Amino acid sequence: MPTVTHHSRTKSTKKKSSSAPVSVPGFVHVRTLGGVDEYLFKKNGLRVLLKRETFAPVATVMVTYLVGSVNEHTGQTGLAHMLEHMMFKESANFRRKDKRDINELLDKKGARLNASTWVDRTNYYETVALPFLEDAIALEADRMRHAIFDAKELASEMTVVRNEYEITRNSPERILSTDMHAAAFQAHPYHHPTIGWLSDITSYTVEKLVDFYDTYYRPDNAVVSVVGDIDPATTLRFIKTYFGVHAKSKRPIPVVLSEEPVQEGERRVSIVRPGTYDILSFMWKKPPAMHPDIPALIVLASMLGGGHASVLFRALVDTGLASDVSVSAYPFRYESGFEIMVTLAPGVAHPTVETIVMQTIDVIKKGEITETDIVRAQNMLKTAYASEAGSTASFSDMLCEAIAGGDWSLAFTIPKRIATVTREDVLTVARTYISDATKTVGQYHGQS
Amino acid sequence: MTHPFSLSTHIRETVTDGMTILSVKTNDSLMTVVGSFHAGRMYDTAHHGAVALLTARMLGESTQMRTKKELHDTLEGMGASVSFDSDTARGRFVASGLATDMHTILALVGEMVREPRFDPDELAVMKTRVSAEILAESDDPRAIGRMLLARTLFPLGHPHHIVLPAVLSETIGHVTVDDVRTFHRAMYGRGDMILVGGGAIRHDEFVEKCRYVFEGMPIQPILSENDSIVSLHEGRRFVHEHMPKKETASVYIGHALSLSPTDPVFDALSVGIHVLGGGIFANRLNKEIREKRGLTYHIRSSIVGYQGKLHGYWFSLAMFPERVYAEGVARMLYETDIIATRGITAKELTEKKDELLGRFLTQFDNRSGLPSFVLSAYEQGVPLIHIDAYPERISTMTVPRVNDAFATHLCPEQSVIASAGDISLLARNAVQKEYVRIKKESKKA
Repeated sequence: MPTVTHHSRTKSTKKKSSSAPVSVPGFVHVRTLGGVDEYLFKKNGLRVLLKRETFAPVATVMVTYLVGSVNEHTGQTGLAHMLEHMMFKESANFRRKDKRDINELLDKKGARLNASTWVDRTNYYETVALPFLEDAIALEADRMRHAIFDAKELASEMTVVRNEYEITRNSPERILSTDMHAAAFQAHPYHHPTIGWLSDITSYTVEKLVDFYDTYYRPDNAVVSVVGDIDPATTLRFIKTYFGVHAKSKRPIPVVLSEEPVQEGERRVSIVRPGTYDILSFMWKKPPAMHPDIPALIVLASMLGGGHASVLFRALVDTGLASDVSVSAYPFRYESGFEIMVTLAPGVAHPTVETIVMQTIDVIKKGEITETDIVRAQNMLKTAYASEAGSTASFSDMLCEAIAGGDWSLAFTIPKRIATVTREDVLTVARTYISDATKTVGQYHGQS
Repeated sequence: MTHPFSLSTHIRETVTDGMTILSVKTNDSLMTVVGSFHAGRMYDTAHHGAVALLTARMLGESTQMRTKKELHDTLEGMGASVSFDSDTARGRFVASGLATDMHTILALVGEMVREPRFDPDELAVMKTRVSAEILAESDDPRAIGRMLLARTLFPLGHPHHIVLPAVLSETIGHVTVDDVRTFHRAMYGRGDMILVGGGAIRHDEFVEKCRYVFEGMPIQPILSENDSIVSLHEGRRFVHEHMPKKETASVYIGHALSLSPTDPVFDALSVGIHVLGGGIFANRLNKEIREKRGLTYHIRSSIVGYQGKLHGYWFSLAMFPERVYAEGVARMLYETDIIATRGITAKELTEKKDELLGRFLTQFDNRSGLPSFVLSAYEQGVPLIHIDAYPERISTMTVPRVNDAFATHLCPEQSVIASAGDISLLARNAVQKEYVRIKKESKKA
């Protein structure tokens, strides 16, 4: 049973935000990048990332599991998300009857804690005052392999998740995005929403949950990151004490086999619902996060829709045709969407905006972009990445999404490569990926 | 638990030339500067806040010296951004960029605030854009429910009153360039300008630059807000906005408060509201309505609306679909009644103290958010010393103080229940019946 131990720091390291890798028996130092030290716990394959940040006496503990809705199949969509909810019930050493309620133990100590599920990963995190660092690690370690699943609790939590699903159906953007992914991805599991289809949400069983948990929740399919005012050696010892009890799993981790066939023509989605505004959305296929074209695609997205000086903002918002435009080239583990979403101004028709967006993209593809456009986009991205280092929680998030994309080093290598992207690189990716044949267009009509 | 962190040790403050200038020193390469003026919608009641809102948003457009294009090309060429907005009491800007570009960014912010062009064509586009944003907000049951609550709690003309989106949209259509110019002249100046910078910046340098860029702006008298205390309704009042196909309704229960944030009773009431629905999991509403019964995904309580001398209000918010609407709302009401009449327990207070003291520390994790946190405190008239004294004030809180605060300031029987969504009259009418059933059931238990 874990106990609360007050975490001490040595005077000599108090004000430093980085330090040399430490040596703790059982761990191998793998690499250091961006002030982050990676260790491997040899016994069970757990990977650990540590980063010191000393502004406030707090730390964020995050466990990222390499499992998300991409690992689900028809009939069990949303299972990764449901499991995430059930992980807040009980585990062997965190039982309500012992007054060690998972939900409340750290919440009652002022921790900022939660979890989230997305397509490629599930994460659990706590930002805690330093005296509770050990408790956070103990909790995460225990529920990694010792979670307890109960049918009655599953039934009660199902209605909570069903309500969460229904809340997402209040958002026109979420509704359109769901249908866009379902149209653009036919074979690959990015087809279905992370929260799942309603009929699946209401049909999970404890057996399905346990099987999924046993398959994916294991040390060699997880990364523990600790960012904050920590002593690295003490932190590794905590991790060894609590995560070290887990053996290496012998079950194979299933590979995502389905590949999306090449799209051979434009697809269209149209939704009509009661509402007060219209949306127009575009999606093209872009390569996985580890692909070398990703930095140039991110620059292209920023050039198109990042800030008031971006080309689509000027073409649509500054002209009164739209109230908002967003463009995303967010890197995911597998082939995914390069997306544009436009909120139309009242009375503006979808075809008007669609024509302008496509004309703007054609102009770019013809080469009418300048070095200044590229530098502006690069600098906007530079400050955006700098802002992610603004808290131990957001820094941990950045690591988590990079882990999900394929490797935590992406958190540093993508920004570095963005800085070297050239005008020719952007032209090449625009001409390669933004084509009519791989386009999906969505119209949301809010009708009063 | 000890509290080794003191916010004031990280902050320096200078009051000069009608400006309160603060800086939060961190090692972050990203700099954030936030600033505010007494330019919120409460100074524009004749136009329901439309002029206040448009004036703030137009400050992000062309200046006398630069077109909007030139301005944003320069800013975004450095990777910087500046945005303006307004709320109940204040007009605000948020500027961010690399700390090494502080001088240029501040110079541009100064130019935008001092010398806006207020171009008629740009105003026309901005009016369309803001109207579209209002329409989009009208599609969200959570936003509509919150507006409905504020509109019912506070009478027309009160700073917290929010008019119907359609009314605001229509008013926006009538705003002229002259309205905007006049509002800008009257409200944007020194006097009670507050500026907070954060990041790898030097305080003295920051102060000098702020003084330089805002030099020449008029020093306006500090405005005194009208008495904002309102009477509570006689009895519970139920209001609903029907929104087709919004299958989950947002339900707010709350009422106005007559306390200021520096009033000792405020802390006690705040702790009590936290026991009811504050924090993440460890509160009565979450345990009873989400964890135990699975009726909702989202439920919480807050105290909001405190700015300057303005008094705020408390509310609980939850989201329910039709099938559990009556039971969910009835349980919210019941839990609120119970805590108001019976108070909190010693165990709850001990646990809540630990939570609030811990959260006091963990909130400082967000270094880039610190300027906004400090600005918000100063706008509420809460000095840094009051923030630093928070752990001490919470540590010495007692059960009788919390329960006395409930007895004098929490009146659930006079609260407003505001909901928005696709909920039938049948379900809404069933709330009272459910409430009686739950009460009976609890008596038996």
